[in-house]
Amino acid sequence: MLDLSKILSDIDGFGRERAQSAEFLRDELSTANGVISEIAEDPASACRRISDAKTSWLTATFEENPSFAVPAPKLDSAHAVVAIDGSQIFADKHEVALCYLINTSAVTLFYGCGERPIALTRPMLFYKNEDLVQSYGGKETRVDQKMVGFRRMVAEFNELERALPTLEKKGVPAVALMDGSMIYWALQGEPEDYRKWALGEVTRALDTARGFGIPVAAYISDPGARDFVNSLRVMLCDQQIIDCDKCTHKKEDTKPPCEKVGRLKDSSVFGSKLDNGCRTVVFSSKSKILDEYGDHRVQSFYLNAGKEIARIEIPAWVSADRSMLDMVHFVCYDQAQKGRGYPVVLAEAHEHAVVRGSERAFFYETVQRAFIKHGAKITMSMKRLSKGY
Amino acid sequence: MENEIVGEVIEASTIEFRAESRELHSPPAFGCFVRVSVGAQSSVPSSPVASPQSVVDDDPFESSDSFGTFRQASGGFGRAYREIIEGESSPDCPGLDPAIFGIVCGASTGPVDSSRKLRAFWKDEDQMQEDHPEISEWLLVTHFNAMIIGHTCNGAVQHLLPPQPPKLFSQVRACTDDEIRLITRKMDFLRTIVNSHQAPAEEVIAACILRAYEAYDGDFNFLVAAGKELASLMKDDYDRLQAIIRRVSPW
Repeated sequence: MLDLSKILSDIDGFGRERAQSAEFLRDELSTANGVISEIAEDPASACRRISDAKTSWLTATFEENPSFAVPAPKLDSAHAVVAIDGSQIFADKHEVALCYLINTSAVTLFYGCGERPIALTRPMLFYKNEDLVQSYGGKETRVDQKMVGFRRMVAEFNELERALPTLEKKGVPAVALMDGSMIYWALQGEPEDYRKWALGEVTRALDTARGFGIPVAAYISDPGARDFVNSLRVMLCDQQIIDCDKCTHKKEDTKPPCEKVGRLKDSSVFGSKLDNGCRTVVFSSKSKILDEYGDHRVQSFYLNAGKEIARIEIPAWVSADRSMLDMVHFVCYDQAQKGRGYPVVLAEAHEHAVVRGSERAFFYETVQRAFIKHGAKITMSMKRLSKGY
Repeated sequence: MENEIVGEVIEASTIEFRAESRELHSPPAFGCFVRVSVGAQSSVPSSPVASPQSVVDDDPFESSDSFGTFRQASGGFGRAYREIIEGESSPDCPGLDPAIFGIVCGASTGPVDSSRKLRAFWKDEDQMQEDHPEISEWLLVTHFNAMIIGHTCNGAVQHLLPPQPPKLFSQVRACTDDEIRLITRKMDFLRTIVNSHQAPAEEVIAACILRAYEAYDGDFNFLVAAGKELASLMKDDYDRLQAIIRRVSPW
């Protein structure tokens, strides 16, 4: 039970703090715009400075002037958009039995060709010992939320791989959209063999997409990325050699100039620079995990999708092909218009994949019935029983 | 003539059922007669208490040929109406399969998932279909409700509520003109509607009378018979009776 009255003053302080930071953000945005203008004078040398810097944060590099804005291209021809999403019921030791479920969806919408939309869902149950205990890096790990998350990511790319041949057969230009980032930096901390397996599944699906000539893009709504802002921080750095570990401001306990834009997100910077439908140039990330993506090294751009700045991630082979890049740009913007701010195809894929609370309860009820039918023992923790639901 | 499938039962009781329309935005018309087949294993058993004949015989307020009375009063029926009441086993009207009959008394279209609120798009219909193919494909659904007015028993229509509700997921079919004429041979279904509190009864009565009138090829004698039945049922509510008569009058 929450006694809200005990934290009312904290909530009030929270509001006040946010109002103040809005003022700081205005100042930081003005500084950021100044730096972007400086970069525009010589983008190549700025990019070299950013690439050479040793920072404790990830930076974004660029081949074109980052102050460029590319307007949304027009596409009048028929086309298709497929979106993949997934959701899960995490393994819960307090439930009837230890197992987890992944539900993936693939929704394809066709435009201008009269084809009927397709929505497929694929629920998968994982309950065998090899599903619950994974052996990688010479050690056994019991399944946890992080592992289920990776398994779901793999299942989504498997779903993409399955959806692509059908899409190709329809013979209309198509784009595949994924929900959320394609830069799986969290895999960095996993054993090498696990990483290889997971990224192998991802890159195999991307290979298939490339083979069919279908660009793949990940759409990130309300992105929190700061890679480009971090690049601006490099530009603001006053050190002779840019190396965060050797920063003199740390030793002297003075405020480093890079903090002048420290609170900004990339989306706030581009919010003031992009007109409706426009995108930024393509940025490359220095995320270490991308070294393992082979030909599919992920790049990104920001798009004014109408109601927000979205981050779009694409494999390098998509950004290298201007017609594919334009197609992704058009589709992301057009889909966001049709979906009142968020791509309608992704919203539909989410609706088809999502496992609601009542469905979760029904799932466990069904598992329970199967156990009873076969005379298997049901164990429930005292904690679960005490909750009485 | 084959009965057209118009929906599938998704909720049922012994007095009404709710069905998902086969066509989005195009449920069977208000006042339409529909039937739900009753499977062989769950066929409505003939009731020892309420066989068609016993109903007629045991009802002290019903003559053995109520239509005979109408016929005399109205001065004779037209050909279509006469065929149906005089030639019950004519080739057009073989004995009926086990079924439950209803009259469509309401319909609605909305989101499949009630948690997904709909908002206007301000686009014309063609543009909507072009830009949002998913909406008609899986976001919306049309439902209709039907009040049950009778069922078959031994191949004949009984104007009684069925012993069991229709089975869920049974197909709902539109009644053919032949079936409508069989159902409306006796006007007892009007009493069921008049006494119903589920829908605006005047509207349902007017709509179903007009539909049956069509099934009789516009035989005016049918309207007269229906009007007389209503006059009897609503003798204490002249205004309501007038409201219905005004709705169904062909002039």
